[in-house]
Amino acid sequence: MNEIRNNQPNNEGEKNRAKIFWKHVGIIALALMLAVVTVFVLNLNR
Amino acid sequence: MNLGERILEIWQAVSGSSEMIVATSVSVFVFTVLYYYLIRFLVGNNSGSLVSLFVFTMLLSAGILTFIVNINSAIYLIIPALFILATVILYSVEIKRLLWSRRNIKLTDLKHGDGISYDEEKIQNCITEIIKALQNMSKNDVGAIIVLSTGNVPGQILDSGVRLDSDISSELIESVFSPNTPLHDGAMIINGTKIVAAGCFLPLSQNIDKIPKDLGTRHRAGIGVTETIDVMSFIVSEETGIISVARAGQITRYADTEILKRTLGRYYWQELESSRK
Repeated sequence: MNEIRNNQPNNEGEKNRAKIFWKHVGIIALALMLAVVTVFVLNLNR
Repeated sequence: MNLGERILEIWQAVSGSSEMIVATSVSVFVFTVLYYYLIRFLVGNNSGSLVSLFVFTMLLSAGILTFIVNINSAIYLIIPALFILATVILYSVEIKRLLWSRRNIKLTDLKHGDGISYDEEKIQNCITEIIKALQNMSKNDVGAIIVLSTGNVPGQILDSGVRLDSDISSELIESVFSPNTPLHDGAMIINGTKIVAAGCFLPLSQNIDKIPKDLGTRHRAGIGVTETIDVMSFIVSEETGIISVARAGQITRYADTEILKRTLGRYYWQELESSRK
């Protein structure tokens, strides 16, 4: 069993967490940009 | 002009007038949250192309609407509404899985097998017993489905069978699946070192095209449960005795001792551990 446990790469988790974090930052930035565009367009007629 | 004034100026331009700044900020926040969840869901389901299409359509139509004067700009909201509708239609199964996810299940007190100690020896014993049972059933052409959960199987699936809450042993697993017994046709649900239930009915897979025609209802159920819930399942074919492993709607056939050991090791050391944090 120790063999199975030791086979898991240790820094893989760290790398994945960083990747997931930057993916979320990207999604938030994209969502924010689209939200600003939407509100800008909706306010055009006022 | 400093940065603060510049941002205020841009914000006023977005708002249309200085009185609308608060309302604009709230609207931007609401739309950001909405778009964030929509994009995160699509990215999580490998639909990067749909996200690109969404962004492209939004920007293009915003550009067009900016130059058309006599039109109600509220028409712009049709585009996100259409994309949300398309997402709900295309990903109804995934949305169901999201609603049944771990966080919701915790609230409904469906977590089973908690309070048990996950010491190394006990886990090693469980892995050995499960592999022994699977290989014995494979040798004797006894059909079986074993689902490895982290306490995230919905109550309605558990209630469709018989609750056991017993320790894992190869004898018990083989007895449950031995032909002509009341529970042999359903699935066995394992959570950690406990068998939670047996004889459970599982949702069948929706991806009929992806599953080879020679696989029957047992395989479709074994794959189907992994499509809707974040679990993995072992399926032993009654006709051929082949052991398969299903995970996230994908099936790996001809699982030997090494694959079974690796899969169970990953379940016990990684997934179960992280679900308990």
